[in-house]
Amino acid sequence: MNRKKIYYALVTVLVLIAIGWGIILFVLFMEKSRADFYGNLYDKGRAPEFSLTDHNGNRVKMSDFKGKAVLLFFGYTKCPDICPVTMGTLKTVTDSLGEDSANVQVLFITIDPERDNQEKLKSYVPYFSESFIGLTGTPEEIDKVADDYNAFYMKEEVVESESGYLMGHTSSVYLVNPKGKFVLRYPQNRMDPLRIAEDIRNIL
Amino acid sequence: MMIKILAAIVLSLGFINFSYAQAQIEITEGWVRGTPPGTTITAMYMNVENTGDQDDTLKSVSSDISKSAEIHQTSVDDKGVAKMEMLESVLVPAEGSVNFKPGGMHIMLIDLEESLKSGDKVEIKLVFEKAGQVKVQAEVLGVGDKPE
Repeated sequence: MNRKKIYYALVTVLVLIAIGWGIILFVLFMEKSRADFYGNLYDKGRAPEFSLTDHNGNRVKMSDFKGKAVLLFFGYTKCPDICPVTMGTLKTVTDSLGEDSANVQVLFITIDPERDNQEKLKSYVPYFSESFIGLTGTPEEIDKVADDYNAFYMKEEVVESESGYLMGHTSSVYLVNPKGKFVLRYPQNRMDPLRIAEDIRNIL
Repeated sequence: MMIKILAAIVLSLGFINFSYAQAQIEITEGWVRGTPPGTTITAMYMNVENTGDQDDTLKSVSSDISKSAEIHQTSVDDKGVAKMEMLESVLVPAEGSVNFKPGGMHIMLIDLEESLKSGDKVEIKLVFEKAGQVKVQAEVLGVGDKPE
């Protein structure tokens, strides 16, 4: 074996070790950047376009909010527990963002369009924060937007309850980045407002 | 003789007190969520502690501020869908406690007479199988407020 061959063998081994380490470091880095977010990664591409009526009666499109981070929540005004809890959390999130909150839009989309008309939303949504926007539409429009966003809802007649009917619905909050892409999703067991605010600062 | 009778009375009173104390319910941290104008439904939360040595059961709830009141339980499934069910009663084990909290069990107040503002006080009546009626003064909290 001559020196040249040994030299090439050594270089090959070193290059292979370097590549190996590169892969390991890259994987570790990816893991870390994943773990850096508090919300669950929700890598579903562009948030689908919609056209709905806001609580002031204006037609609003998802693309109108480009340039802002959007927190999107599906609920209904007759919801006594999860919805006001979540809206209160989102209010704390925007409050704790201070000046950055100007670049964040909270959208509340009703999944009970039969009862939640524009006036109902107007007295409900701004109660939590003047900056929040409530959205409603025809039952067909709501059906489509829920479907496009993988949100589920159903009417529940609670036996013997005086509440009329309640709604079962997807209770996670979606975070869309300023480019209009889904980034994260917050299930009900990940509702720490300060950590949500931290995620938002990281994507602004 | 008089002393003996007095002693008997005192002893029997003590005995009555003792038997009455077997299921003792203490309510703490009672609060109600304030409502946006026009909203006629809300939820009340609290911690129910049974300091007695016998199980007790919360059987019914009522309030003067709403047409009806019910015990409800929110649950979220693994797909993130939140649902509610009505509970007939809630067991409060001896020397144990049950916490009614957001996203879990709550007293649902249905058809409120008027909207509830932060700082208001409301009275909720709870009826337990053994402890009987227990009245709770609950404070109304505003958006994002947490009980102290």
